[in-house]
Amino acid sequence: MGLPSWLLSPRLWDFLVDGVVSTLIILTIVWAERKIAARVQMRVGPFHVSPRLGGYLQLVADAIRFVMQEVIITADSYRVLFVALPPLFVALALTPSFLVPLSPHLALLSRPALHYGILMGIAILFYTFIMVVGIGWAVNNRFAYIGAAREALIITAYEIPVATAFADMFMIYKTIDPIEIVAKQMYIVGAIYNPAAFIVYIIGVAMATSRFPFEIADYEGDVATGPYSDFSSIFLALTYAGGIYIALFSYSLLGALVFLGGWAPITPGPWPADIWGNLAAAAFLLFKTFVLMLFFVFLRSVMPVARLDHALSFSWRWVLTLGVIATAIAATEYFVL
Amino acid sequence: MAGQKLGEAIKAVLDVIGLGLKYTIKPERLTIYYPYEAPDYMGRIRGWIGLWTERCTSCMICARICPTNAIKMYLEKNGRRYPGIDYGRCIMCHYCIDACPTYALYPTEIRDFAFYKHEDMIYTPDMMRKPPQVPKLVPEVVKVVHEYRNGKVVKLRVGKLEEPKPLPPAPSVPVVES
Repeated sequence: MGLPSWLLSPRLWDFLVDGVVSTLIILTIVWAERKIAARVQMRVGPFHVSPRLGGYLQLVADAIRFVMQEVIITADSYRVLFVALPPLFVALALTPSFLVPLSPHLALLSRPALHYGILMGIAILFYTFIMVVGIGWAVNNRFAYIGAAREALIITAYEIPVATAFADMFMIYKTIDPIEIVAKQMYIVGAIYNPAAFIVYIIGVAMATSRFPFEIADYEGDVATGPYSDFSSIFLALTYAGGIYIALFSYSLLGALVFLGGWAPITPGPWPADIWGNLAAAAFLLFKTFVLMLFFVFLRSVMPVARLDHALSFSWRWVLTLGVIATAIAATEYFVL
Repeated sequence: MAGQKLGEAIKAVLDVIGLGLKYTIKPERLTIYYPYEAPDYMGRIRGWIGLWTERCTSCMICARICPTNAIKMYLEKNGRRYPGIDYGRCIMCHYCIDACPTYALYPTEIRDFAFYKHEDMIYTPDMMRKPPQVPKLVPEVVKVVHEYRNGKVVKLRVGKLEEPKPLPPAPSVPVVES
């Protein structure tokens, strides 16, 4: 093709595909969450903004409203962190999706760094909780304080199970390289290799991104959106209405790579020769991510909210036990496979 | 969890996910798309309350029976008192109409009226002669009813909303002067 070489750089394409498609996916998932909850509750959900699209443009209208709204920084808050943490939250939540490849040849990082992509992604995602606790501290009202304390307790419930689930899968694949991991799932996906680890991952991510039934730190009915209770305008869009969903996207992307086989049945050729194959692989991976996210947001419409102590005891008693079982399965498969 | 067996808990979670999926795929909706649709009340509407001051004997039974104290008796120029309704308080129970011994208060089916200010809701006896103007938002309104058949809620369209019934004519009895 006659295109200049910098335009065909896989890094540029990875950046563009990840950035644009993740934005689209997150908008769609917020819309889907509202529509699914509406359907289960015998309502219609977003409708009157663009009735023919099922109210899809309602999200754009909401986004414009968030951006145009006056920024209010409360007098009691710690101003520096109040302003600095929401963008940092989004940055930390989005970074892991740039660390993993979207297809065998479409990646922002090159080989020695890409090898540790998933590992770095999990590590960075665990740090988003510090942002939430910091936001709660900076906002400085009673709901934010309670929410931050709850978040600080909830991390003890999900961090170890999620890390265990991923470690189990690394043990089964005998590698941490995302491309090799996908290559090993060409016929059987990881969720079938180790269902226990997959369940632990699902529950852990539901806790980490405060999906129902574990929406405890920022539950509207209990603590008035918790750490985000004094945010308005763009800050609310960055945290409560955006940052959590971005974190969910990153968790789901890692989960799709490790548990759902990534781009597995599609095996594209090298990058500049097989552009469409690589883009199809990336689209398939992001579709799996979307399906996983759809399941997480679907939980909102059917689940109650667990109490903090129930969630903690559930995690330590059952999820951790399941994690041990998953480790046993992984150890067996490590020696058998 | 608490006092529940593990098997029961897992079964409950799977059940509720199945139920949610069922409603996600085949929704049953109760929403009525106002103003394009309106529920069919089959004539059982208690709406705006009108007053013919000619028939009123100022007995004040309406003001006494009103459960929300929405009716105030206003002193008019002829030295008599006539009821005026505060629609900020009125719950459309029509007790005043039932209690009125001379049929001076009469019911209508006018239901869709809204106010911009609280002061507008307070009707004086003069204002109660003329019904409120309901703006026409869409050319035709479809009447709907909900039915429960075969275990599902279905919304049925039962024709268009008719024009409101004309109000009863003003009484021919002479104005009661004191």
